[in-house]
Formats: sequence, C-alpha cells, structure tokens
Amino acid sequence: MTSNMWKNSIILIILSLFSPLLLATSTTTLIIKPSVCMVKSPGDSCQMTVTVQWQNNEPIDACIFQNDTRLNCWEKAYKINTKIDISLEQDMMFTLKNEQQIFATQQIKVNTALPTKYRRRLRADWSFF
Amino acid sequence: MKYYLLILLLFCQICAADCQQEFDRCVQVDHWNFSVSVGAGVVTNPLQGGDNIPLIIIPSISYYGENLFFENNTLGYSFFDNDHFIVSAISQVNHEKSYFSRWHPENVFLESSSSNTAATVPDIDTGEQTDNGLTEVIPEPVVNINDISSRDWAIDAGIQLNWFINQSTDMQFKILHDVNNIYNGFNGQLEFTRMLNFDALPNTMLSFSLGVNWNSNALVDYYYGISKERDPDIKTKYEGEQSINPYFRIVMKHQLSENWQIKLHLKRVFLADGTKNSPLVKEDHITTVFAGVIYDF
Repeated sequence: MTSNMWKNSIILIILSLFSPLLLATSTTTLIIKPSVCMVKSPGDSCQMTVTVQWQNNEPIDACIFQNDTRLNCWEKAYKINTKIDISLEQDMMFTLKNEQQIFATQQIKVNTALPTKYRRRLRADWSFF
Repeated sequence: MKYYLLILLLFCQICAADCQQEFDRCVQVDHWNFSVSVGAGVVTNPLQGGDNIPLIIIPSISYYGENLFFENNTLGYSFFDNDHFIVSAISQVNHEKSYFSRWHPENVFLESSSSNTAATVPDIDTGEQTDNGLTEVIPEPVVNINDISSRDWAIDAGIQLNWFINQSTDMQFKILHDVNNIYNGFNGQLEFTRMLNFDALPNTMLSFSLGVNWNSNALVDYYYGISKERDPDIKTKYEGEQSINPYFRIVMKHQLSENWQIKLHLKRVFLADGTKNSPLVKEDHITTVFAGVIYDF
C-alpha cells in the first residue's frame, strides 16, 4: 500500500512538472475561415475577407502575422472574433504571437480552379537562325 | 466516306492529349515566356561582301494560348490537334533578307562604303582559247551585295504540320508563300528532330535535327538572281533556280538552376547548286554557332 502511495505521488509530481507546458500549448485556439482561397489560374492573386477567431484562457497581448507581415494586434484580449482583408498568391502561414511566445498557427491554402495546362511547343529552338 | 472522316476528326479532337508536364517541348498555356541568351556566336554570311551576323545578346519571346501561338518571328493558329499531329496556319518573317543586311558593328556607326569594292567580271563563265591555243582560266563572276539593288524582307504565310512520333522524336513540315508580293514564290521545310537525355549527365538535353529547306525558283531568283532589269550596271546575269538545302542542327542545354541554362548551338546549312552558283554567293554553306547562357524570366 505504501509503495502504491509512493508510485502515485511520483506520477503526480511528474504530471505537475509538465502541466505548465500542456497549458501553454493547448489553451489558445485560432480559427481562420475560410482556410482555402480559390483562384482561376496559378500565380493569380487571391484577395478575400477572412474571419479570425481566437481565444485564450487568460488575457494576452498578441498580433496576427501573415508570414512576416503584421496584420492586426490586440492588447489584453482573451477572445477575438473579427474580420481581416488578406491578399496572397501562394499558401501562407498565419501566426498569432507576441514577442515572447507563439500561441497558434494556421495555414491558408491557395487552390487553382483550373489546373496548369501545357501544350506542345511547335517551333524548334531558335528556328530563325 | 466524308462523314466517316468528319467523325474521325471529331473523335481525334476529343481524344487530344495535352502535355502532362513541363519539359523542353512543352509550354504552359496562356503564359508569356521571356528569355535572354548571352554568349558568343555567329551566323556566317555566304554572300560576297556580306557581314557575318554576330550572336551576342539574343532575346526570345513566346506565347502559347489554347490555339494561338507566337514564337519570336512566327505567329500561328493551331486548328487541328490530336495525340500525334498538330496542324497550324502560320505566318513568319522570311530570314533570307538577313544575309543582305549590314550586321557588322562598324556598320551601325559608319556609313557603308561606296560600291567601288565590287569586282564585276564580264559575262564570261568559262575558260576561253587564247591565240596560242592554251586555255586561259577566267575567274567565276563575282558580284558584291553592295552593288546590287536592295532585297526586301518578305512575310510568308502557310501551313505547318507537326508530327510527334513519341515524346523524344518529332517531324515538322511546312509550306509557305510570301504574302507581301516580294518574291511571289514558295518555300518549305521538312525537319526531323530527336531529343536525348543522359543518365550520366542529369539536367542535360541534347537535340539533334536533320532537315531540308526548299526554296522555289522565284524565291532564289529574287534574292540570288542578277538581271539587267533590276541591276542594269551589272554585266553578268544569273537566274536563280529552286534549291533544296539540307541542314543539321545540334543543340545542347544544361539546366544550372531554375532560371539559368548553358546552351551550345551548332547548325550548318549546305546550299544547293541553284543558290550557290549565284555570283553573289561565295560560300556553299551557312554555319551558326553559339555558346552561352540563357536566363529565363
């Protein structure tokens, strides 16, 4: 019985050591909708308004970045539901972070409605010469 | 029978298969392609007094739509396309005039010298008996391009057939007529091309072509003929005859990075009698050679 108590105590101590990390990684949720932007052809620029929702279990100072570009910032906020205009030509990562910490990330994908088409070249290279 | 052919034609178009990936003989549809080649090269000029054409910086531009295409000097519209054959109506600049143009860099800055360098020989083509019975060798008549009337650029239009035998082998046939009343004749081309890739040399492609250019009597006579009507001051005369000029071309490309390639280009055209017998022609072949790099934008 005594040995079981010791075993349970050790497990509790180990869990308590990991709990701050578990809290830090699991308490912030970030949802950006829609997560896919459709363009007509490859290379076309996609411009759309997305809904950004995030929440944390305690107020934080945080900004949302599109790759390295800062889009919007909030002070001492714990729950946000807002709209942001974005523009992108390829898949991009959106990150909610501050100077100390990355809270959450989400990727927005750019899909092409029409697949890239190829056709045969009909002239020899440098046919003029 | 004609309905059968129509159904076959439609069926072939439904079955048409586009290139599935981008390799050297495939281009992206609805996309402009720009590149610049920089290096050292030359196109030799077979004409008396003609300047070799330097190849130092060569821009290249092309566009392929669903049917329309443009590639450097050629505009075309493909109206039939199936797995192996593409038939297109094309229009292109005839390159024959380029040999009559002044290409040497000094000609850009200096006016062309007067025509006193020409060595026009009286209209005697062969040796003749002298008084003592010996045959005197009379040089072939020579006419310098500076002494003749100007030859103009011609715009040709006609039909081109591409036959893609497999992914690395194809043939091209075209028949063209000038549309701006320059020489009022035909020219054609038949070319066989084979592309080779080597396991030992990754990112390297070798292309080998064999072909013939056919120029009609009217074309050869306009560019290479000498007549009293056009050139009254020239004593000799020459009537151009149709020429079938064979050629080969070898192109090697090595992809250095996404945008950079190394290119080696060698081509030789062998002029047929109808062209090379002209007093304007000093060499029986035209060589194109270039070594350099290409930057694709």
